[in-house]
Amino acid sequence: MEDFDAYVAVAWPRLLRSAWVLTGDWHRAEDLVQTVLARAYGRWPRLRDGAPDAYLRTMLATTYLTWWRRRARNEIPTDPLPDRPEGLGRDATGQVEMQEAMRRALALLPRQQRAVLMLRFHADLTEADTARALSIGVGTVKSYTARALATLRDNPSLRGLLTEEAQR
Amino acid sequence: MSTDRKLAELLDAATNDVPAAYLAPPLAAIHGRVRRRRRMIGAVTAAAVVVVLAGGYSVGQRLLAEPMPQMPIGPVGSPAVSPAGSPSAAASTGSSVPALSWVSAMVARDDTTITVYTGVKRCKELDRPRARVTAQDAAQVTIEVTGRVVPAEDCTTSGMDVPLVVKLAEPLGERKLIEAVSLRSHPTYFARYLPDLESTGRWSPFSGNWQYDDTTWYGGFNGPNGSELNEEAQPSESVRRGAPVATVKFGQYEGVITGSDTTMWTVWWQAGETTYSLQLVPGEGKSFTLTEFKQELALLPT
Repeated sequence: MEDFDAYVAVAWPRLLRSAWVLTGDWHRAEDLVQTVLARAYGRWPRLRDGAPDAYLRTMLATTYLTWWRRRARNEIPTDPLPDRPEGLGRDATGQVEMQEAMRRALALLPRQQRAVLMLRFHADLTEADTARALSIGVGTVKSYTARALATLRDNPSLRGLLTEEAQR
Repeated sequence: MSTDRKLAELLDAATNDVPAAYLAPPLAAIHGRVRRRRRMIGAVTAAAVVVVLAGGYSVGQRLLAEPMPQMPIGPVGSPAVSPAGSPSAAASTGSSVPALSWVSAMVARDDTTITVYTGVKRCKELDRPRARVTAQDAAQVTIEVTGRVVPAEDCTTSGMDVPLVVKLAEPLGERKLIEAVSLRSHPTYFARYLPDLESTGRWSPFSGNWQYDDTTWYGGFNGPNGSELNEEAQPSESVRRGAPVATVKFGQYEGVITGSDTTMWTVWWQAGETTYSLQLVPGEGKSFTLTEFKQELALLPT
């Protein structure tokens, strides 16, 4: 199916980024996206006319929460995370610093909270759609979101970023 | 700006710099996983196929054949559970097992072996489905599938269409296949319009074939140097393909070639209302030029 390949060529980076939000690691993210795309291949004729991005990101989340967890069992814990690689210095805009801070903060979240954050704030799903995707209640989505935000705000590097604009 | 919006921006920013090593989509690796997944699923479904011998063609419209003793079909290890889904119609079998729709059929090269595909939705699967011929005459053969729709144990592997095989006593010939619930015909494909790859000795079939969706049939073959040939059949009206790059005489058909040497090549041809295609997938790290693809096609029996 050529249009599947064409879609993957375009969508790959954004799916990979969503998977990174879940895994916090580019290699695992790539593995997760490959797994999901291989599963989605057989359903592509049904997916292509709908909203494949949303569907695939939902698959990323559910796969991450099910067998992915079993597969990754021996790869946890991620807290504390490895030190920042050598040579990863502060960049002019603080981008690298912020990325590392986000990675460390996300690693502290329970997996379901990460899945909710990814679907709500990276895939841009509504609370209701996120609840449907993960087979949980909307109230649970709200609760997970609130807890996740509270955890992220506890990170000194993110606290200011998450509150300064909102407080104005 | 709201905290929600700010968090979305932070996630975007945190994931903005994808390392160069991960930027290119690994299409070959993804297709490799697809192949491995299909082999795995094919092995399971092939083991679960139920063969039902139908009665003679001349017997008319009465029920022609009683099914042979059949082994249960369904997910390996699935328990006999009560139905949870909505059967598409009441049973015509007189038993308590509901009749289900099937969505398409593949007629084997012998013209007597019919594989019908019964679809279920995501998070559902079929418990002990069976297929049989319920009526036939000079114009048509009616095939009925029965089984229960049950919740899937694993949603991520559910939703696959289930192949069920029926063996006719006489060749199908020009007769139509009729689905017993709706009493309508559904897409019917014929292996005789596809090259007999097994006869070449160069290509070995996967352990099963699959139905992508309600319309597209798929079969796959392993070939030399890790290459693979994928066969597809679908109603011509639903075909989507890339821009033609060449045409080729393919048996009695005029084939249209699409693709590129950086991905893979596909040849498409039409027989009746169906479009068949053959896609050559190179082994990992390898590629085929258009000339090489045409040379491979020339080796195939058509």
